[in-house]
Amino acid sequence: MELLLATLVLGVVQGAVNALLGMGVVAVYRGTGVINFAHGAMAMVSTYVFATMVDHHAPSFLGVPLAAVVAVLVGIALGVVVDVVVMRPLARQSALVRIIATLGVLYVLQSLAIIAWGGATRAVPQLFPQGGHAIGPVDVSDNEIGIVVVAVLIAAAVTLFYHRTRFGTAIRAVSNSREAATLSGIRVKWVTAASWALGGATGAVAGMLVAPSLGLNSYILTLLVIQAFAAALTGRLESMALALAGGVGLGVLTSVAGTYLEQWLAGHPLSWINIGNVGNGIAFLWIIALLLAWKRPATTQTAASQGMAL
Amino acid sequence: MIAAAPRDAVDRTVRAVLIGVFVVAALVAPSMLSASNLYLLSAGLAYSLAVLSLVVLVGLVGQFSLAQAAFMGVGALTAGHLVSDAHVPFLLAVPLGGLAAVPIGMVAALPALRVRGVYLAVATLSFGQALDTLFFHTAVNGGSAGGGVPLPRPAALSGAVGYYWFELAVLLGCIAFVCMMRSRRSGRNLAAVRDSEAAALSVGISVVWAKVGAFALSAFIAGVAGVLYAGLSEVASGASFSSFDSISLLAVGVIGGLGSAAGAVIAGVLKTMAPVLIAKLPGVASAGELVGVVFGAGLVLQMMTAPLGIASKLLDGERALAARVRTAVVHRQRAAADRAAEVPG
Amino acid sequence: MALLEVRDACVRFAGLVALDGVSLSVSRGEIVGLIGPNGAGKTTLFNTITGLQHAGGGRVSFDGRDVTALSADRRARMGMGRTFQTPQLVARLTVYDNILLGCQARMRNGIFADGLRLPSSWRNEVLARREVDRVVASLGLGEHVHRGVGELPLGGRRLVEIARALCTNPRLLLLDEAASGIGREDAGGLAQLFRRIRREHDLSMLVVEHDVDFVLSLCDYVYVLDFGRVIARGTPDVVRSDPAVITAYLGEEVPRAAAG
Repeated sequence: MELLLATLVLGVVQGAVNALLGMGVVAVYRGTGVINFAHGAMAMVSTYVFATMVDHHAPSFLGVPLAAVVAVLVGIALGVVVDVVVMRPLARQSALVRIIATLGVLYVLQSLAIIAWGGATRAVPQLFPQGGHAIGPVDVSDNEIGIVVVAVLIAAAVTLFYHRTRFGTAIRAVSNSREAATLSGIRVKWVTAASWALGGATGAVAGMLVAPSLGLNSYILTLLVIQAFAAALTGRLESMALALAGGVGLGVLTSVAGTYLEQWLAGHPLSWINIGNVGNGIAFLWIIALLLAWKRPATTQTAASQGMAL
Repeated sequence: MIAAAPRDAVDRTVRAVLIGVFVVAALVAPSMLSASNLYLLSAGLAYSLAVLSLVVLVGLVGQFSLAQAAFMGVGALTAGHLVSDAHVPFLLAVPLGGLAAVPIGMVAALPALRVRGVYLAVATLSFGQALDTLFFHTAVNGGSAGGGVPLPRPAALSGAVGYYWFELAVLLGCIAFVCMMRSRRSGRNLAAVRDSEAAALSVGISVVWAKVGAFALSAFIAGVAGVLYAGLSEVASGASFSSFDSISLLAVGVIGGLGSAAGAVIAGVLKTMAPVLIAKLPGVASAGELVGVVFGAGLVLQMMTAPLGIASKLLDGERALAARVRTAVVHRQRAAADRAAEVPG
Repeated sequence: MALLEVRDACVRFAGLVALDGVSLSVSRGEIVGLIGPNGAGKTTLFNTITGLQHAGGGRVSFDGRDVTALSADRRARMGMGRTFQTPQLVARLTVYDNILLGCQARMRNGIFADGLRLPSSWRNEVLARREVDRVVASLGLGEHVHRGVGELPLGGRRLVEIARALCTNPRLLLLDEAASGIGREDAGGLAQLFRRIRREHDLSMLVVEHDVDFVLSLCDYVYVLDFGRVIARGTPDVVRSDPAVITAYLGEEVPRAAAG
């Protein structure tokens, strides 16, 4: 029972980060129609900036919070730079072309990170102070609580932003129809830039939250984009709430599978598998299940569009 | 060579001459290169084959994959175990490694039945990553330190030049296979599925099986490429087949041109030889990770200009050459006809 | 028994009702026409019959078999050939190779046989080419076969689609606006061609056309569709004088003289 509870807590914490990453993917997709493969890589760069700043300013009182703010700003800047430098020149190309371009961005950022910070895995200080509480039979650290609270707060803030602000409404309008939005006087350029900035910022936060437990190098966070996709696809890349739920669900499932598969497989012939990385297998199954459950097969969609064009 | 099929005798002649030039260049290359560069070129040929596997998917049937390196890994590790544990001859392990990747490729094709394009990229990326992290670094496969599984080459192929020729033969064989397949039923099926699934369905072509077949062939070629790559260093190591290697293959593939076998050859050679060139730039000590920056930026730039790659320029050149030859031929025939007309007069 | 039976087919797109309980049947050897204003649901009905569109309700049976749950390619292999309102040709293949696509569902050589050029690949290729040559000669496409499909005018592409569909050996040929763009001097010539196809290939036809007069002159039986429902049906004479049809076309510009 205790093991189960501890596993669930771990899963929720992991899931909160997945959710946050997924929301960043959703934010970019809704504003621009692009599935951002570089989401993890952008988070990785922001987190490196955070870690480097802390190295230099750690003793001062404001060290960690200041570094975190700078990292978020770097995330925003990265998002805007990608939008202006890469996406705008590709504005007339198909979504697929723009999405492949984000793979190029991923590649560039990952390589630059190795040049700038080396290839070794480094430790990253936690955002929240040490300490913990015993909730029932389970010990929960302040850091874990902090991660979940931050994720929930950001989710709430983003949802409010989309539904209660004029700019959020504009983003939703653009995601429905770019042409109509342009006609109604919405500046599409600002909307895409803001979406990329939002993606970069949430990615930076997610990176800082997760790096202390995963360790930081150029590829771990970069490939967390897979978990981000799994979460985002849960809401068909459109729904923030479902992305949140999907991220948490994925985290819990991963944690439970990791704990119990390891017990179950001990001594089993299959134990040669790296069960520690079962999360990647679960993310794959999660994505496959979502895609196979996609309501209409691709062919019917083309047919349906022909039907509409009677 | 896949983008435009030759249409007449002139086209065919020009194509044959160009292929001849390529083969001759490839045959004399070992005597022109230093040992280390020959090693890189040999690695490049293995990557060419890997990019060819991507050409089958992207160029022929319009599907995407970010799991090609994982297919390579399955092929390489299988061959390693076959040779070092089961004492299967190396030459037999090459196709068997490819075959081992086939069912894996068919699993990767699963989402292709429902979605395409970018969603397939997402699914295959996660698939490759799962294979890599769950299986490629286990104790059985050489552990996390990247020890790998020994894949010793037979005596006949132990020399660097001999192995290079072997790789070249396999690469050309696979290119020939793909080109021959392309102009027959299977190839036309893939073209139909790529251009219009509605048309394919309306004549009774199973879109599902076309895609699964393409993935199976692609995985086979990638698996063989993995064996060749591992055979070069005589060790199959999971560390060589990560998701970043898949992304890298896609990047060089796009730069080289995923519409043709020529693009695949260019891309593979580029992948290993470009670092040599980059290291020669002033102020650059060693290429290192700068290669990734160059390839990544190249991928983005390629998307901005024309997403057809270097090979399309090559094919344009070929077409221009064929046009000139054709004009020359017409001129000569006309001159001959004039002379013939003069004789009786 | 009828070759094709559609019972109460219903299709909705995001709240829009495209087909609302359409029933229709085509007997063996019959040419059945389908007319109706733009947006009446004709192409949706075609897609529902051939399996490109899932029916939200109702059933489709072909040759006595319920095919409602079968995929489009299965239905095609059972003998449903079709053309598209916007011709769906493979731009990268020549006219000849596009027509060859029609034979391919019956060929059994796979990737392996084709890549190695095994005997089965050669044998099937020769048989298929013979078949294509016959259809090409019958439709008079001979001079165009080695061109790219992009070089053909709309009418030429429609003929290529018909040739491709004929190569599947269909028992039912569904033609979606095949007449527009073909550019025969008169509708009569085209009607003759269609009748000749029916005779030579021993098949039934379901024909969607914009040109009402052409359909009434060609078909044995006619259905009139409007707003996703069958508003009239019968022999051409019955339909011609049906008040509901006249109302449906009132205000709609009927291209009376524009034959093809």
